[in-house]
Amino acid sequence: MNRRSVLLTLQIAAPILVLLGWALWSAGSTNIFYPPLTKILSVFRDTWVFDRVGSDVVPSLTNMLAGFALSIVIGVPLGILIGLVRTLRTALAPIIEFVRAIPPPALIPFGIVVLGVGTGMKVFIILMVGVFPVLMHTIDGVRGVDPGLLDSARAYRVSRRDRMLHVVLPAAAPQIFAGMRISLSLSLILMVISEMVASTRGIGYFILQAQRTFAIPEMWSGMVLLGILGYLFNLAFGTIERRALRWHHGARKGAS
Amino acid sequence: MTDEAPMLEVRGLGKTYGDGPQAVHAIDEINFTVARSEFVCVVGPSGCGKTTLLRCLAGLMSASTGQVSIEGRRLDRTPEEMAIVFQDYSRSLFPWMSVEQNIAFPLRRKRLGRAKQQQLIKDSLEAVNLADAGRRYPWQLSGGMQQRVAIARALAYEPQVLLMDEPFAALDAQTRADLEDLTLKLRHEYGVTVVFVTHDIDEAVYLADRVIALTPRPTRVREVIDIDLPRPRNQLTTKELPDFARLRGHVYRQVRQLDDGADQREAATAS
Repeated sequence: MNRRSVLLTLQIAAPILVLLGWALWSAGSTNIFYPPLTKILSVFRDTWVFDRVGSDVVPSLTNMLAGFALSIVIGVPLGILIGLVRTLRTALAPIIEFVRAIPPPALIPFGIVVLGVGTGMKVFIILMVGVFPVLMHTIDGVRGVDPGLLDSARAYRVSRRDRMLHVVLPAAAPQIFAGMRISLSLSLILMVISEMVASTRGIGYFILQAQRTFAIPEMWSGMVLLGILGYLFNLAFGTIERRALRWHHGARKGAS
Repeated sequence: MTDEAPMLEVRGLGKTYGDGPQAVHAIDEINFTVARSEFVCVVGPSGCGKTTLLRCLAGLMSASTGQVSIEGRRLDRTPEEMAIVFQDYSRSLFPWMSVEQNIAFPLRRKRLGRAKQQQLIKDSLEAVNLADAGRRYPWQLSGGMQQRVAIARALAYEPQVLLMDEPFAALDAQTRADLEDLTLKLRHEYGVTVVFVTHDIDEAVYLADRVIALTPRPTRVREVIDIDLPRPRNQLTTKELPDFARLRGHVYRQVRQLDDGADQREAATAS
């Protein structure tokens, strides 16, 4: 076997071994807090395939993706603007740093007061956290655009609009994607947190409710589901990123 | 006797960076003109403000004093009739665009219509011997090929004046010789006026109709030297001509600020 297939085998084998270890260690467990893995998995099947998908999973993911999408729609254009205009950057930097420094759960009471306990509040909380990595990375990306590329566009009298869309934006794209990746993970975390307060549905609500009613295997199954969802989101994001930034990876490989 | 304005005229051009005691006086005063279809090389000692001069010519930087005009019209930003080939091709071609897209991008503003645009792209790629590279990306090409793409982009733009800023400085000697000859061929075919900035004296003498030698900072024109070598030029035969050696030596002394007797005296003191 060559080195590549050894590594691939290891990548597949290690998680399976961990699962097997968990199953063996927890088999026949009577400890209420650590139910057998087989029990967790059967509860998982009964709960999530596909009993509570419509009632909990779909609303949760809708909030999360709405918050994430808004983070991008607001963060990228605002980041480009702030990145390009020095006076704006100087004026806004302290404000951004201040708002960013507030621990996100502390925003929930404010969100409830202003937006109530519904979807709006949850999306707001996700947005308030998710927008910053996109914003900060976009600002950095825009400031880091190679001046040679900008000269080239200016020398050929490329219009301001085309310079933004076809030079600045793609040149900053590797940074923007890095910010979006962080924002995606944060969106999932904030989705759960926002559902643990004053909520009546969602995966986060389900886990909290299961814990409060001592439905421990159900609680575990919710945690497993979140792990799987997070993994799948990262996988999907990675695929999109590789396609969008093919030139970037190609150029970097070419340079080394 | 005609009153036709020169293709490019530089008059009283000066550039000072900053102000007060920290000001850097980069260009003192530069005057020269370039006739239509002429090939002019600008050479000067290292750090003499060649790039500053080119950026002022290109309208990428505003001069502190004086002005640049193209066919008698004073210019403030890069005029439509001017295309630029930069030294660093890896920072002037857009890596997220294919070769064709790179060439097409500056043409967007011209609204040429699809057929005309495709024709320009095809012709320019053929002119630089890269007819098959249109769908590839710059980073998939060698340095010499990338610089040929940059030249194709400039040609497709249909400029009257082509500014080249040390375009072959980053390439190996053989690629460099090939691209020098390609540039001469294209100048002949397209009849474009070329202003070519270089620090390489051999290159300047080989390519130019006239060489403009600059002084160190604050920069002035030291001498304008007519290069009356026969055309077409050839990497071997032209460079073997006694006149080539004479002109090369003359430009070298001008740029290095040696007077014609200095090197003999130097040789005498060394022995």
